[in-house]
Amino acid sequence: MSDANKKPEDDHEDFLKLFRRGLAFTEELLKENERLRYRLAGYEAKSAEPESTATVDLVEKTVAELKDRINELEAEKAGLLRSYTEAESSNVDFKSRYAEIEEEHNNLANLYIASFQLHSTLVFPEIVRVVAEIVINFVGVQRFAIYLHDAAGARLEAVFAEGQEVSAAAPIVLGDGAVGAAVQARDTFLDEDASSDPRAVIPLVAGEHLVGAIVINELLVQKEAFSRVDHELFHLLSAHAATALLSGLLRHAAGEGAEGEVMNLTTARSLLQN
Amino acid sequence: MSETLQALVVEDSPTMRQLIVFALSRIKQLKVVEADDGVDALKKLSGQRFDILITDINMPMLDGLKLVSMVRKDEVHQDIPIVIITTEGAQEDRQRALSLGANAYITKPIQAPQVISKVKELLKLS
Repeated sequence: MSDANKKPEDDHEDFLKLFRRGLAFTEELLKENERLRYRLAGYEAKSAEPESTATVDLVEKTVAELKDRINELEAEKAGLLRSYTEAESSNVDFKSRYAEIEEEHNNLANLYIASFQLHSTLVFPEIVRVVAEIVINFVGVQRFAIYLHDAAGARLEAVFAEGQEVSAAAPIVLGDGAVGAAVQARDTFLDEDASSDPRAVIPLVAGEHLVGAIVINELLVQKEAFSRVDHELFHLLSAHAATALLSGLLRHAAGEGAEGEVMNLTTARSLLQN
Repeated sequence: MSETLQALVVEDSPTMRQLIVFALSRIKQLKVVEADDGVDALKKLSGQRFDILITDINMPMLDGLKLVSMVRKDEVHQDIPIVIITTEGAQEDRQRALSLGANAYITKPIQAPQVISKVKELLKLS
């Protein structure tokens, strides 16, 4: 239909159509607005209301569980620290014990070597040299003398000296003074005072026989005091150096090659039968 | 290190030598050869290669100082670690030995741990 043929009633109809569509759209907007307002009000109400009992219980339960777990972990940590401390203490004990065993091992080796060397020869000068080496290198002595007992004169005289002349070592008269008394009693004399002279006197005794003595006058500068193994060495020297020195003198008295003569099985057997 | 290392101990005193050899026997990788004095040491050095030399200073025939000096001139052993055994008072001998090429020294009275520690250090053993 052309505009020229359009009637006024037609315009009115168009307008009404447009108006109805606008009305429907407006109503739809109002409904949506209402729906949104309702949802907002719901959210606001929900956020304003206190938490439910169930939620509170859940939170409290979780907190309690976490506290228990913390306590468990604290206890576990304390246990581990205790174990660590105990292990550390044991480790220190083991280290200390190891050091003690190591020292004991070395001391025994020194005693073994000293004993081995003392009985490795029957030649008197060599025996004296071995005794001197033990005193110098094992004990750590700067000045000392080896004395032998002059049975006829009831005194001991120096036959070897280190760090001094032999003639400078004064004789020991049995029973005279602290040193003479100690030798007569076959007791080792020790003086821990570094300024004392002598520092030690070790009687050399083979069975009942007083063979001699070692008189220690001065230790090496780096050695401040006698150690435990020194006392063991003195004990060893007292008996083993005495028998070694006596054997050397007996062998000399018997003459060179006496070993061949005395190595008699018949004699040995008869001695064992007696 | 699993290879066997050779040590030469030069000491005229049998007691001291036994003490040093005992200490070195604790090092499993080490095989020890003994010499009575400097001359004996030179003979043994000419016959085989050693990895370390431990020597006393005061010895008859050829002393430790001369031995150190000769070893440092030897093509085979000029780099060998050398440990000298001295007394605390013998500082001049010690200085002389170190200036001639000794690497370290041990003072008497000798303690086995001291010997073991020094030799292990020079041979870089654990």
